[in-house]
Amino acid sequence: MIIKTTLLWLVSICFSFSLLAQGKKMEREKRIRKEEIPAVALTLLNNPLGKARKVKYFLETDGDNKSFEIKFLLHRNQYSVEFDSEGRLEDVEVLISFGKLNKDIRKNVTDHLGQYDNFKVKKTQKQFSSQSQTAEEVIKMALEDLPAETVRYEMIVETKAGSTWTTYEMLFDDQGNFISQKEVIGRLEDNILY
Amino acid sequence: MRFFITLILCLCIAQEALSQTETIKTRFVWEGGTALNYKVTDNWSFNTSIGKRSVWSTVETNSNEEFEGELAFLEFDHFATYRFNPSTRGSLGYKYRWRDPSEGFGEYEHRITQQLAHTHFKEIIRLVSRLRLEQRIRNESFAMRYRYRLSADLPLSGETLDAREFYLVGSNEILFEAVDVEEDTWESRTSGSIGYLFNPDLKLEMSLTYRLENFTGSTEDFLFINTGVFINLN
Repeated sequence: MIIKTTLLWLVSICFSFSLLAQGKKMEREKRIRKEEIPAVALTLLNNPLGKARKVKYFLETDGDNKSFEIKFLLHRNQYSVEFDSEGRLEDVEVLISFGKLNKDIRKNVTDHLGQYDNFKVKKTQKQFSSQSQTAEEVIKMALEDLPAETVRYEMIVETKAGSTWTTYEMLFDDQGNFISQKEVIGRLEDNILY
Repeated sequence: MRFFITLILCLCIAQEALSQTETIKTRFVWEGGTALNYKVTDNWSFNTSIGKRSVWSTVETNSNEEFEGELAFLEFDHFATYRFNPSTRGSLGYKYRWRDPSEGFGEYEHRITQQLAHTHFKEIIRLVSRLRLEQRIRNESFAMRYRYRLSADLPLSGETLDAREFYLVGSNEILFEAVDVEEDTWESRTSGSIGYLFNPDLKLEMSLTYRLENFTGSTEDFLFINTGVFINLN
């Protein structure tokens, strides 16, 4: 009996592994070593990283696209700096409190979110980028919280429509006007619920 | 003199009888399971699983030692879960456990479960509080079980759990059991697991659980090895 049930269980595992054949495009974030980051990106952040704490390096892949991200804590602010595969700066994000945003920006955001029956802003990041300014200038403006050419707000928002809750990553411009959104798929929880 | 000879003979027979006694030492308990998870509507999801427990022991006699496995039960579980909001889930569950399958179909167990789970994130660590009530019906007894479990899991690579990555889970559960035919007991279950997410729909988990049963009375402890396959059908 015990041998039969063990075999049955192993067969069910093999069946499960056959599901691996289902191809799906997967986004992936992986922690990497400092040496794996393009040297040009490290040079750009040489100064702040010298004073920063909790520095972490990540590689992000999404199909064929590849980017690098460096996260660190500086002057009690949590920064996240993203580079493309060649080490060119894409943007700098700093974690902020939604409640500390300018009143007009908050009003525009909440007006947009007012279309839902309920909502909760779980995370807000201020995003600095520029087409015309140099990477050094954008980094300086983000670290000193000065107005860069392009400032946006990236928010993780839980929204309720009817009885259904959905989590989105939403992007707003510097005035709090809605730009775009994409759904956030949370971590599977069956192993931790039952 | 005759008394001493009789006494020595009796002692020899007793020694022989003792030496024939089997000594069974439980080495470990293995629980394996496969679970299917599927969404029915935006807020309702079902979880169906099959599982088994086998007890692996060494049986020692005076002449030899054998390593044996015995199937303790086979079980079927079904849960229906409602998502109240992104953090809170309520579930109703039913379990049928076929105990001692080698003895035929006589020994059964039904469990009816009500549970509430709340999720909270602390940076990359996900904390889940689970409060569970169970009504356990066996051939010979009825028990009410009150369980509280605090679990935490985190990805081992990066800040999100992506495909082809390992993750860790740790948990502790306190269980109070009120049985109609026995004394009430308290139990603690501490568990550590490592899991691997093959793709968004398939993960494999292996854990060690240390159970401290009846820790306010005549305590017994057990080490469980658990293996689980989790399949998402959405």
